[in-house]
Amino acid sequence: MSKKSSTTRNRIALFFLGLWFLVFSSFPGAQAETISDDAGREVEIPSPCERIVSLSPATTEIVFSLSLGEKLVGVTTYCNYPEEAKKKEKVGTINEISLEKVVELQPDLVLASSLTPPNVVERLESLGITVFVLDPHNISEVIEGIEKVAIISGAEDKGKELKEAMEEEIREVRDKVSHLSPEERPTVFHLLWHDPLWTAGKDTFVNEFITIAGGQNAFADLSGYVIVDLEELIRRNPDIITVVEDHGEEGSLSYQFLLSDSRLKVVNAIQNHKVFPVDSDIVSRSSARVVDAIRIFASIIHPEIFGEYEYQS
Amino acid sequence: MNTRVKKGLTYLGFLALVLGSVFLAQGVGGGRYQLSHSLSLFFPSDLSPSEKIILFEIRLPRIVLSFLVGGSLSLGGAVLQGIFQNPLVDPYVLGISSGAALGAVIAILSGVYLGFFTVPLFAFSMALFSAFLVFYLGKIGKRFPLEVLLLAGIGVGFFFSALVSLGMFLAGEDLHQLFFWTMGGLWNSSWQEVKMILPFIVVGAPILFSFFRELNAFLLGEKVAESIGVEVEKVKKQLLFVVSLLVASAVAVSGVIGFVGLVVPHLVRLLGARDHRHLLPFSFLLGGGVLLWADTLARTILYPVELPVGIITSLLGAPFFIYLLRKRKKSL
Repeated sequence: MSKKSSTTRNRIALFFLGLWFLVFSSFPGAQAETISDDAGREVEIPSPCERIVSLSPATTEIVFSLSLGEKLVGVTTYCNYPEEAKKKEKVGTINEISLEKVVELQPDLVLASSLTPPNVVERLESLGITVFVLDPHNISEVIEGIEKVAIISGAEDKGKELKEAMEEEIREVRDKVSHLSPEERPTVFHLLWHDPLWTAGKDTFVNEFITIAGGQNAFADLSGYVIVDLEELIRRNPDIITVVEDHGEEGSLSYQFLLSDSRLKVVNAIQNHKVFPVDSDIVSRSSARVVDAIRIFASIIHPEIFGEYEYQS
Repeated sequence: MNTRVKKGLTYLGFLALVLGSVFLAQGVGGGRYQLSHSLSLFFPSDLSPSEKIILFEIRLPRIVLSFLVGGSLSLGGAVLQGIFQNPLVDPYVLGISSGAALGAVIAILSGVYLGFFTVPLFAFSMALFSAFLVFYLGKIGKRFPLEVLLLAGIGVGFFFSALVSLGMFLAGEDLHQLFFWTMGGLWNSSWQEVKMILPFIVVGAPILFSFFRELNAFLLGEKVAESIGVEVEKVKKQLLFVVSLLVASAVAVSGVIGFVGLVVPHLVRLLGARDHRHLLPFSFLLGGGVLLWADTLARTILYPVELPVGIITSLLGAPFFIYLLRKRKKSL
């Protein structure tokens, strides 16, 4: 074969390749709209979006809050809110997901969280399934995420409505505590587990709830979720202690610890009976219920403004 | 100098070191050292109520408990290394750690609450159960062949660890609670934990110390020991029983703290005490001291964040141990 003919052939191939690009890139339908997710990926908006699989309790709650519950075809075993979520098909736990099950459900859209293993996201993507990852780090990112889910699943109006309602409620709480001086903002210790003492520092949702609700996090100088010393808890002497109750059961081991350990009797919160159980699902999920969480903390911290707190799950 | 006087002085020196450590550690808290806190041990009067609680209900019991736990684990390790004539044996060789972990997992996941001692009680019972299961499985006729015991310990340990993993898997969102327990720590130590473990030490340690002749004989191998009049099987049974109680009580109040029980007896040997008459008491004292300081570091380095003490013991202890090993490998 001569060198010349092979170059010619290359040129012809290049020509057709160019033509192909020209035709398809100018084709209007091929320019799908994209939206960026919290993992920094550009995700094409699927059309239609009739079947949604949700891989975390928070995204499940978001789907329901956008009135898209009917489109939800698969959830995790942890998805327990709202009640209807429990009846949906299960595709695994938060971090142990059955790829087979997800594919079998033929979703147009899979909503994932930061806890979804990255390889699951990659695998689903390589199988041609649209995956949208939510990983909010604060309340405004939660709201932003809800808005994006609304756009990607074709419920834009409902999303706007929800966003405005959430922002309005948060603003209301902020306004009611805005006049308080630092001395009028009680310190709050949020207990996640007692052995060892595990609490939330800054850069956590709980810290934001406490701050918005007119309180001060007793460990706001630390970052993230941290183990702290019992000595230090007594030294910081919080005015209020909130303790996480798993799955809506009241009277967890941590709650019992707070009430029964005699060494804690010197702590203001214990002396003044300011120990409050809060539902872990409400305060730990980055869904539309962050507003409920703010309300809970508001009643705990300032019952004189927001009314007495009643444990709810 | 007379060797007896020298030995006596060494004991006194170690005891002084331990007491000095308690004195110093009592002053460490809130991320710094305060002499007044150390001195509070002698002048406890003019303290505020919360200072009193911090110094005498939180810090002191924690110091005491760390010493007792470290001592028990090291003593247990020294005795077991003697029985098995194996330098790799640690106090958890009888499946005690995985048994205890399983007990803790059951207690935490079931949510049973019988008082502050719920988790330690479950851990203790399951630790003992696993040790006895190992004895039962390791028994052939009336004898306890060492290799069979070791393998039974490994088998039971793996099985219980698998159950712990299963529990952790099923725990889902409660995972962190189990995770913390398995990391080991002396976080919320109080006098109650000290009271729980103290009887086992007061009774168990002297019994173990008194077996130094038999353990020395074991150094020559079971057959030789038997030929010089040691009732090998009976002694083994008694020692294993006492060690199990001692280690189980330590694990129950502290979780699984690694390294101390394995390495401290070696350190004591490297320091020259190969005779069990001295090896055992020194292991107890040094093990206690090591864990005391490790725990003091654990609550200070990242103040006010706490580190699990097991990370410190392994992180600092292992390189030190390797250094000593390299330096003196000829004498081993």
